[in-house]
Amino acid sequence: MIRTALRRSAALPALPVLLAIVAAHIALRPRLWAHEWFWAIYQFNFVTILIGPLLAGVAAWEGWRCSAAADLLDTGAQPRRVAAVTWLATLLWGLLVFVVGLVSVGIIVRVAGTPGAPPLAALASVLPAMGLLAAECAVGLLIGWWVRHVLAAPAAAVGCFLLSLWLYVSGPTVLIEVGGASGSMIGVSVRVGPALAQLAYFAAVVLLAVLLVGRPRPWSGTPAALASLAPAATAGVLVLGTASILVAQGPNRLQPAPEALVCVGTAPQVCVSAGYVRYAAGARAALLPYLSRLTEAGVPVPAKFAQDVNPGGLTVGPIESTLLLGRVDGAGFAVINSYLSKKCPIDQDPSLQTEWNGMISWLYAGSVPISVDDASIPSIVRGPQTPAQLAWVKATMAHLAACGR
Amino acid sequence: MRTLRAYASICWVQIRWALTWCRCWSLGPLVATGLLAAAGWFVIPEGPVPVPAGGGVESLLWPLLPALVVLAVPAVLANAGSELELLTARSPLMLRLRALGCCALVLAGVAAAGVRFDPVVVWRNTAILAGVAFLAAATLPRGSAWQPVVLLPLASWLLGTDAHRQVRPWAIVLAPGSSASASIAAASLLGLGVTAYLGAPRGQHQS
Repeated sequence: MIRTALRRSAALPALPVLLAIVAAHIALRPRLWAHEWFWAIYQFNFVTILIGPLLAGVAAWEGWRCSAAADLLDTGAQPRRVAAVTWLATLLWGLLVFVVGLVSVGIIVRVAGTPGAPPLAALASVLPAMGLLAAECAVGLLIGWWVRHVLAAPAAAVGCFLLSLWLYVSGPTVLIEVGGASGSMIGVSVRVGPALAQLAYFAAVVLLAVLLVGRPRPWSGTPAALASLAPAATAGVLVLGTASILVAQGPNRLQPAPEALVCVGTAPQVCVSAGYVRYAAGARAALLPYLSRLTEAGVPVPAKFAQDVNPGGLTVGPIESTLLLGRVDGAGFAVINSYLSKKCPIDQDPSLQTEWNGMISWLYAGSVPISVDDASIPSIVRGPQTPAQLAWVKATMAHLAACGR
Repeated sequence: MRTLRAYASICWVQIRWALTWCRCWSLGPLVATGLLAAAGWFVIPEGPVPVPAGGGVESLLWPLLPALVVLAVPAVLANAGSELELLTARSPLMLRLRALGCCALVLAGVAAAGVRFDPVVVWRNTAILAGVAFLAAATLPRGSAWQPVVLLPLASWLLGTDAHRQVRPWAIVLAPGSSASASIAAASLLGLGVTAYLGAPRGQHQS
């Protein structure tokens, strides 16, 4: 039966479209993730926002077809069985597309020179994404079954997309967020609790849809429809319960995690993850001029820069993947970031902003042109280097380093 | 009195005839989605909206609103061009022209309601999406004809703006009103879609 359902599935003609979406998601977004297994896989999971609504639409079309044929199949549990098999066939085609995309991402990561194999934790992060696809398929099938109209398919697709968007913008995002990161994911991993709660929530949604599909619509008032309400209500409670547990876990799906880093050079030492090792020497060379300028001014400089630290570490500075990958104009900012704590309210304090602009202007003087508002730069920084200027630098760095501590 | 009754019964027959066509062509849902889209012009944000996981990229949402009503178009065209064409003695061209006319009326009504926004973009995007819908209805199976209409705005919004907030050349629905290439693409797509739909063989649109 599943073979026939797979062969006749409406997802089959949609495969080129689904594959094109996956290709666009990989090709048209920045591919900085190619040096990190976890970031690559986690970012790929975001493709669900594109293929999920389309799969919901395809499933709704199937639901409409099942619903239209239900009268002919209405012996025993046939309609429910047919609907369940149809849902499975649609989901399997969707998962095939997802896996093809995942393998493509793996190939890109390997070609970029990232050593090793994807860690188990990264691979496990695809499970909530697959669960989301299963839930969207099930809801789409139910919409098609209930609506019984040719417009059910586009309506389900658009409705699913708008709901996803609304949850992303207004929250709670954990109900829909299964991936997507615009920055490096060195030093973080997925929290197990929210991931398991997400799986339970998606499973409950699938159960609810499966219990309602293949039966008369609840508002038809027939005895069969009323009989289906009790198990459906139980599943509905399960959906609400798992959703509450999920929301109670908090909005953050990620947590700090130890990362195996490889260190290159001394004074400063640059510590990066395995995928960036060949870029570490270049980044270190880019940092050196700025560190030398600070040393000349008598400012103690960090001895180490690492990918898994936060700004404000003083003795250890953060290093962005963009700097490692060649954006060396960010090296001076990386140096300053090692002094400035995230807790420092620089956005609300104009005097701190003036100091920051002055320091950046002084650090970059004569090297890379940067865009800093000239009016906000202290006059002492503008002239040639004098002992007074160096004293100002030392005092300013001490002030910035003390901020927020 | 007799004449009046005769006129009334003729009118009643005409109304029922029109209602039958409305039902056959799914015009009810088309009008309903049209009203929804028209109401959408008054609530949709005017400014750019952050793209999820876009790394700070923002993109305009309102140029995509006409998609909400265009979604219903493939269903109307498929209904108008399927079994009815095989059963009726009338020319399929006339049937299709009527279906196109109904769609054009509703789409024009929705576009006219978008006076808050740049009219060039509103009318141009309506033309682009309608062209895609006509083309899809003429060339794709009935079960897949809605997919390009969903996919184009969805992919344009999520992937059509690069990291420097520049609209990619293929995302024509996000191009500014001054873009000549987007206007040419709109006219070409609409012309191509209408030609493909009117020129499709009889009974092409069966499920």
